[in-house]
Amino acid sequence: MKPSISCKFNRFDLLLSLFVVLAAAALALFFLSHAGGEAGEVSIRDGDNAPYSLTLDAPRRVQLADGHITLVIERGGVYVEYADCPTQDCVRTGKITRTGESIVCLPNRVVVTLEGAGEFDAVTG
Amino acid sequence: MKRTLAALFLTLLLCSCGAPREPESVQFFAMDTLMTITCTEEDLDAVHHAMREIARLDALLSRTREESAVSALNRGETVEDAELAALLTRAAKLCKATGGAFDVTVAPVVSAWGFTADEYRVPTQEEITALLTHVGAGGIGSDGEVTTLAEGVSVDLGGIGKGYASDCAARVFKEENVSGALAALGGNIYAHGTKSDGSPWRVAVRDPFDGSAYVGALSLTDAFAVTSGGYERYFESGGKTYHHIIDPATGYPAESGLASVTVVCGEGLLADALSTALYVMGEAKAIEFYRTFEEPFDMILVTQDGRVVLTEGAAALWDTSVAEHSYQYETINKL
Repeated sequence: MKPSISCKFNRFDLLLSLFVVLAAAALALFFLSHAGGEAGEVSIRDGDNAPYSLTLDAPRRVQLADGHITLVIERGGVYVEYADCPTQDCVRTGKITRTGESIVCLPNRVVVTLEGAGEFDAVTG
Repeated sequence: MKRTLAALFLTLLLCSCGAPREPESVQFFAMDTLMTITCTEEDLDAVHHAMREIARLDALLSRTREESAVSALNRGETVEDAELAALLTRAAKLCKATGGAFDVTVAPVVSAWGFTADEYRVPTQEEITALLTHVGAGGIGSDGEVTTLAEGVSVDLGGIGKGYASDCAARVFKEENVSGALAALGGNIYAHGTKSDGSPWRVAVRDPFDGSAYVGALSLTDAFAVTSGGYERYFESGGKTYHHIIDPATGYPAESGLASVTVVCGEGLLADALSTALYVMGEAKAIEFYRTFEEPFDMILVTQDGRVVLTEGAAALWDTSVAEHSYQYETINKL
């Protein structure tokens, strides 16, 4: 005689299902928050110097390109306050606030980028 | 116990399915712009190969590097280089096809405005009139190997150089079986394959009236996208703004009623050249050109009066939900 197997959905199964769904949701939230959240850091490439990152939580002014560029870092974004190059492209870029956005100064080879994966993979225009 | 282990396994499985591989980004300066190529870690060698190829093109096509082939041509020398000859022959054909709206021989006029050396000035009408006598693709002579320019003619391949570079990057990615990569060569975009999660690359189109906003976004797979707009580079003098897209017919910055033009197609060089040409043409001529030109392409025109005109192919790739300002969207077809 075969032993009978109960397939009834009991309280333990319910708790286990809840655990699976909640754990999956928590981990998914973790991955998503790291793929498109607000920028917390700005990466700075200043000529041939080694690139470095600064947090946006501490507002400050940073001198780049041996003082030819003044970068302002504040909560939520960064902008170039002063540049002594003729084109002023980096000043005209204005304040960048979204992850993945950059300010570029070609003459001084300075690239300032808000770190993190943004909503877009690239921008044209 | 078995059920608990199965549940834990299922949890990890559910989560790992949605976690794409972290992309790598390679940044470098070439062709007077910042270039960024995004790919997966295993495709980094191919990306470095593409970088070397772009550096080679920069050395060949630069107008500001004295040792380049283009500089030699502009000094009046005869240059034997099959690649340059082919590029200039194609540029001359596109000049003819666009009714002169795209013309690499407009170089001396662009220089007179100071856009080559970043020393901006407003040239006199007499100066412009004199320089325009040297503008026209008829001044390019090539037999497929050897190229010469007529006296007084000079060329600037800035309007197709980055587009051609993206074509070369595409060739490298294909030859080296790159699964997915995104090349952003100073705003010239090439989307190769898909992202590692299988989705198309998302490329935003900048709002020409607000540098921190977008007019929409494109979902691209194996496609090139290039945008031209007067807002990208300009200067002010005497209370007037002068931008860098010079109309070869007048010698002055184009005033066609368009704020920006984005071209999407299967070739970088073509997208690059057409984005400039259509900006110079203006809306009506651009639409007519779209309907009659033999090579397929799609476009997004942003007009000065706040409309966004999309061809049907572009509309199929387009997402307006990311636009922060109010625009009137219109779709046109081939008829």
